[in-house]
Amino acid sequence: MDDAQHEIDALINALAASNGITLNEEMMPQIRIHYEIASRMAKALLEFPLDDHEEPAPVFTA
Amino acid sequence: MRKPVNQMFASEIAAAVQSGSLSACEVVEETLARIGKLNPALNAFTEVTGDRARANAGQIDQRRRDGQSLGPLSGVPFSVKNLFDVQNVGTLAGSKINRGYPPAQADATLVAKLEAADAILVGCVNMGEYAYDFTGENAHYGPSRNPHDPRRMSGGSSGGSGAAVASGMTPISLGSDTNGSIRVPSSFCGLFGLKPTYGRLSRANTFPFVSSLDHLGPLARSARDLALAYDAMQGPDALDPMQAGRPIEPALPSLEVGIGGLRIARAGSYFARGGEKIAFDAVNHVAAALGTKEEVEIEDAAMARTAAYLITMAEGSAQHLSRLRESPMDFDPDVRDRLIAGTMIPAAWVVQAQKFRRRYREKVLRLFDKVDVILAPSTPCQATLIGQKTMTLDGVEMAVRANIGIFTQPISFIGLPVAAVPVWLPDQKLPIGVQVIGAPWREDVVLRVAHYLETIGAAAAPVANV
Repeated sequence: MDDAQHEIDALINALAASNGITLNEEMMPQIRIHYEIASRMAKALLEFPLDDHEEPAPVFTA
Repeated sequence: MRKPVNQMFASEIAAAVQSGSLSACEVVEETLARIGKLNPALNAFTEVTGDRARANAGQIDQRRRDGQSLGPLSGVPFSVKNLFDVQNVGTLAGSKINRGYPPAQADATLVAKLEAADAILVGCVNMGEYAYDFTGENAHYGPSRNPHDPRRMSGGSSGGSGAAVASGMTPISLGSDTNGSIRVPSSFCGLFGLKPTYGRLSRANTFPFVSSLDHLGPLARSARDLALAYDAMQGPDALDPMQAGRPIEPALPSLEVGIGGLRIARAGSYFARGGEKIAFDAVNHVAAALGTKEEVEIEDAAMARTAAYLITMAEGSAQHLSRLRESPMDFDPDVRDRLIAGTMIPAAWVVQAQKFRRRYREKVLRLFDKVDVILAPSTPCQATLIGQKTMTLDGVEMAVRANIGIFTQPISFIGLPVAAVPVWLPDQKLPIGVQVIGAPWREDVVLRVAHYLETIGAAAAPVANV
């Protein structure tokens, strides 16, 4: 396991504890994969240009 | 001699029951017998409500004998994904955990509306756990199997609905669609499916997944049957605060108008790559049948899929946080680990996704100044094998579970109405679906197009030979 994976695992363990979720070793590989996928997706999304006045759509009307 | 009930469309059953040539009790008995025969192999039903169905059928037949008028779905059997509340039945939502909850005290609004139209509920069907699924597999109850090839997935998460309708166990089933869960099983099982506009139909008394994206709708073997069910389910419901409050706008009256005057185009770029050739052949087939060579570009569709993916992870995880804390080992591991990762998503990602959603919506809606209907694949491939974990699309190996919805997610992300239509290409033993996408609130248009395709033989949903 490289340093980056150690960092992600430390983050996952800290956030799980913060959220009151008990992890075991068997869960870690899949949680890590899903977190990394989400993280890669978020990187692209956060680079999408949206200005300060853009309104979110949490209660959505099509 | 009449056709067996399992070969009849809902519209034919209703007409026969209304005329008295077939009784609702006969319909129910044939339906329950078929479920009893086929369900052990296909695993569609998790609960059969036989007593309730027989009682309702008896009342319908009595009302006909008394000269009373009957509803538009007289005697039509239907099933519901087991996230719909059914009085006195536990609402499993595909989970083991929910078995510990009390049975539902009342029916979901859409169940009550279909029964008010004299349809007959015959049971609840299997689904992917908590609807976080595109496969129709379930670690607790087993996979619902594809009636056209039981070694293959039904598609999810409304997999039991797909299996029930494609096998002729019920002509109509209600499903839910957050990112594609009606359109994916419609594609894999060769069915017509309607995902209405976001906010159109009441979600009251159904088990939620992602409030920002959840839709409910029917799967059936004809566009007419979709329209019959859809029209019966419309209307305001004070129990659902997220419903948009639209008036009832029936689709059935214009179903046979045809496609004259409609401007139709296929979606290019994102929707024309990243899948197997057959997915695009199916779109070509439908485009040719509709006489269109036009193409439009839905800009930023890949980003829309990304944003939908992140909102789903975050909202779905928040929905299940208490269960993840209390009983993580009772989840399907494939679902649990994705949900746990979702609890770790920063708020900034989700807010950005929701801001992007509004921007994307504005852009896509402008396309409807130029066209009325957009065509796109439903799934990147035909039904994959049960248990298959990866697939290769465009030369890239990727996870099956997360990627079957690549073409459905960017559309439901902004709540557009879609009729999924089933296509059988020459020499193919499995179907594949095409999305017929309309502007918000134009379910009537997408159903018109679906019906036209069916009428000319370009789309069809035969009962599987099981």
